[in-house]
Amino acid sequence: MTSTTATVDLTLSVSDLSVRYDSGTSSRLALDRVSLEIGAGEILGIVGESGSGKSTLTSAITGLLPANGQVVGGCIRLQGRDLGALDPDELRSVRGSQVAVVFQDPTTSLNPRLPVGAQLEQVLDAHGAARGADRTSLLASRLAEVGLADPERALTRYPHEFSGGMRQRVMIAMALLLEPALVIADEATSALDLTLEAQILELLLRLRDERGTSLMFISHDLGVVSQLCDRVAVMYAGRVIEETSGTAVLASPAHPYTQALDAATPTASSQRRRLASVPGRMPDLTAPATSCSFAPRCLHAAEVCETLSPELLTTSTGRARCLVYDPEHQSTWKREPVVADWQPTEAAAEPRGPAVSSEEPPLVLVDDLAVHFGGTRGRWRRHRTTIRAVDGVSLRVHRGQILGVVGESGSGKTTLGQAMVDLLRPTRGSVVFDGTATSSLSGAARRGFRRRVQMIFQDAYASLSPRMRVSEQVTEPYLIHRVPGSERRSAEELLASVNLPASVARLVPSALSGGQARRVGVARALAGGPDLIVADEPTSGLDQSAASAVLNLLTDLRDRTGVSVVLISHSLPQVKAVADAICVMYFGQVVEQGPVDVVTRDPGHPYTQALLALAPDREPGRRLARRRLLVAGEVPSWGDPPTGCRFHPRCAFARDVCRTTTPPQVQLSDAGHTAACHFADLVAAGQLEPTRPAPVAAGTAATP
Amino acid sequence: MLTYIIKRLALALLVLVLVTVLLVILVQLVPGDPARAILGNHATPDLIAQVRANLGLDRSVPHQAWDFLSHAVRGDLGDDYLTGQPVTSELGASLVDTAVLTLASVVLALVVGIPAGIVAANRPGGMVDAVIRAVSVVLLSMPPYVVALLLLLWFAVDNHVLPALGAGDLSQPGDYLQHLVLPAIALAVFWWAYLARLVRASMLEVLSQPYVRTARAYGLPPRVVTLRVALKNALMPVTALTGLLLGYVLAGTVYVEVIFNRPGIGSLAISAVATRDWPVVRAIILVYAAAFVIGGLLADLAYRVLDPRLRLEDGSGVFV
Repeated sequence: MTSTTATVDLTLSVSDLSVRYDSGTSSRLALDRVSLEIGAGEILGIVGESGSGKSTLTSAITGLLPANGQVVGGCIRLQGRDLGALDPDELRSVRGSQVAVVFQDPTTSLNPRLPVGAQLEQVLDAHGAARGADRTSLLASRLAEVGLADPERALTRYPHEFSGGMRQRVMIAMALLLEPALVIADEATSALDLTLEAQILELLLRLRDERGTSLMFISHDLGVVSQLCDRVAVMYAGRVIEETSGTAVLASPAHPYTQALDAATPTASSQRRRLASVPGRMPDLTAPATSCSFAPRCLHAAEVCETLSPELLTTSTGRARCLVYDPEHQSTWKREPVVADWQPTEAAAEPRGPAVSSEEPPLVLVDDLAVHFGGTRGRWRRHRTTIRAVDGVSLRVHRGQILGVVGESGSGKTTLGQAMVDLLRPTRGSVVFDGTATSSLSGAARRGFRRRVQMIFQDAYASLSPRMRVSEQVTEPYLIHRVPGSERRSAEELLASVNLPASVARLVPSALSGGQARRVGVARALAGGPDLIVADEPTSGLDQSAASAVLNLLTDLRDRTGVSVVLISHSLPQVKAVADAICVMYFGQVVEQGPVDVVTRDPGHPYTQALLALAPDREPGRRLARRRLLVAGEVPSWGDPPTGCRFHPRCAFARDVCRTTTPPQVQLSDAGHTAACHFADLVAAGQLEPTRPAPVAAGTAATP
Repeated sequence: MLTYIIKRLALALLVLVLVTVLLVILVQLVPGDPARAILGNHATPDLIAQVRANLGLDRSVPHQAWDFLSHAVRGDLGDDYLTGQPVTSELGASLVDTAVLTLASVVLALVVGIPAGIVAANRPGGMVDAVIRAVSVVLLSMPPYVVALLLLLWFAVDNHVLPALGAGDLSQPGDYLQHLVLPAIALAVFWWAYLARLVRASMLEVLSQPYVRTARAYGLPPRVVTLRVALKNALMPVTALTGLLLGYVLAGTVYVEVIFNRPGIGSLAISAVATRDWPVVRAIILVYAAAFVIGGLLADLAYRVLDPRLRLEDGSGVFV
């Protein structure tokens, strides 16, 4: 796939690119002899965890390395032109017109002080496009092309007036403005919800097919990359360690690292099993690698891996930088490595968690809970819209159960979690914890409740005090709750219970990695010996392997101590992998709940069905076949909530009754499986026909 | 927007009313008696009592406050104890000189301070940045009246480049401007340093924002990135400060006017305090308070105009 001589046919050819960052006395090699090629109209995926150098690649190609970064070897050719030979002004004229970038967070990547139209015009001005009346129509047609309704009006709007998905569409319109040969999508969908991500991927595919634009899609998410890309390059510690096809990267990866990533990715089929987690961290290189940099973490590492730096060797699906595939060393290993090697060896099929008997009273009983914000109460804020963040939620958490609460941003899942631990006052309804309503607690009883119920907040760093050492933070609950010495555990013990070494105790939070900070949060929650832990997005911002470790930790704790866990997450596959029961939220309400097996086998709500369909799937093409279930549009605004079923404007199955009547909770099985859909029975049986035509399936992700 | 302006104006008026009430009370605490100051040391107690009655000083404090307030809303700030002239007319003449000095200093401060900050942020850690930082530290740590005296000595006394004393005559613009230069600089130097530091920090923060990266990645020329994208966002905190700047600079005119012997409400205030001429002192302090209030009001309104996000009446108006 890679040739050393660049041909003009290639949109982009990167050969032996090395980039170094110097800071004071130390230097770091961010890219180490990276070679890549993207043909016309091709989609190349770049996968890697944080620190793998994938973002440096974007900066290097666009000539925007920070002041302390420099290209120390290799060359980048864009349509045959060597970018390294251009002077700064020529390079500037290439940026935006021949290569354009779509960045991760559309909220911060657009200038907040300028209307969208003016920002697009700045790009036109920068590349000397003629001013004139047809400019507006050009801009409007671009916005229409990326799916903005009423594009003329949109041009006069500021970025904050758009929703997240629409902002990213504006960003894509900016990228397409001057019809560049190459668009780099740098984690372009990572900040978006699953349904919006699917829409953006759909859009990118369509644009590629209609315009023949080449696309470099950078992501940490193996599932997304496998869905979209023709070819995939996997990066580790600044090197490309595997090149393969988009379908093979999830179905049959060759490099042990890719296999580990794969095993750590929760898919539609992974259920109630531990997720794979690779110990150790990605190394920082200071000099070109002379051995396999993954060897210290690799299950299959042999002596030879420590001494030789492997080339990209041919495998059955592509090329991998692993000595296993070197005929010379074949005798070292008995067989080729497979994904299953990384799967933890435990009785995966055995259902974990306690057998929930309906006689036993639940630990937490949430009854018709509503939490509203704003509204007409204050005299000064008369015009504010009431945000019904949680609006009539009923659920129960049994002892020793892991309940997964799934929903997109704005679904009210975090508000629900905070109301459960009594951080927010319910507007209506009640939370009953162990037989006592939280609203009736006072004084000592409330302190006792606070000790028995712990919340793990979403931002791990922000929820730790930056100036206190870890040892003080994890034992602080003992001081707060005046726990007698005999019941206390040492900081080291607590850290050991979350698989952290005792040496961490002396550190301050800024010295911790994301995964470590998260575990310190868990250790602190464990100090008081809680009965319930509410974990709000405990894996956000973590690499897949670290995320798996945190999820495994939560299940281990439940198995060991019998603590109940409410796991709040936006990822249904993740919840499916660890939870016993599941509760799907949409726009402040529970649309479906029940035991995880039943809900995921026979989802009774179209929304649940769509979320399941969007999960990564190892079987090539399966995910694309299900695209007719794409959820249209975005979460509605609180100023104008939909009538009838709140999901109907986005539902592929919506019928007249859905627009007028609020659906009841339909009982689907004796196991407590309910769904709030008029047609829940038919949906669960798969017998309901969509009313909306399937989105135009313009092209597939199969290798051309 | 309109309701916001009305709400803010009402608040501003309330602040001014409170200031006037406070002024009447504060005057009671200052030692010395205006009647004695008018009549001299040999006045008889009877005479003093009579003058006090004439001036309304024998009435209760709330009464005096109400008197002052009710006259003030009609534009009558009372009469000068010594000359018997209405305070407003005495103030009017001096106010022009002070206002010109204040505005000149504010403009000078912004025109030098902001570019200095931009230049410093252009290459953080470079030569220019280091020089600007060093000069800023020196200027920030020097008391402003020392700066004024030094300027006076160098430019007016030793080298006779510029006139030393007085304000010149407004009918001869050239002469008037010459008299304005040194006092205006004396007031502005502190703000050069302060603004340079503020703008530098603000620029550096904005330059690291993702939307600046976007602008660069789309090939916008460096000048456009710095001035049109970054600066526009970086000037937000400066806007807030500029409002207060008006008040601070106006308050600073007191010593500058004394040092340069300029006519103005600053020097008027000094002499009025010495003679316990309360109506004049009250009126001047009211002017100072009004300057702060108006400055703050303007800054808030500018914020609204400059930041489209604040214009959103409620959070629900999302355009999709």
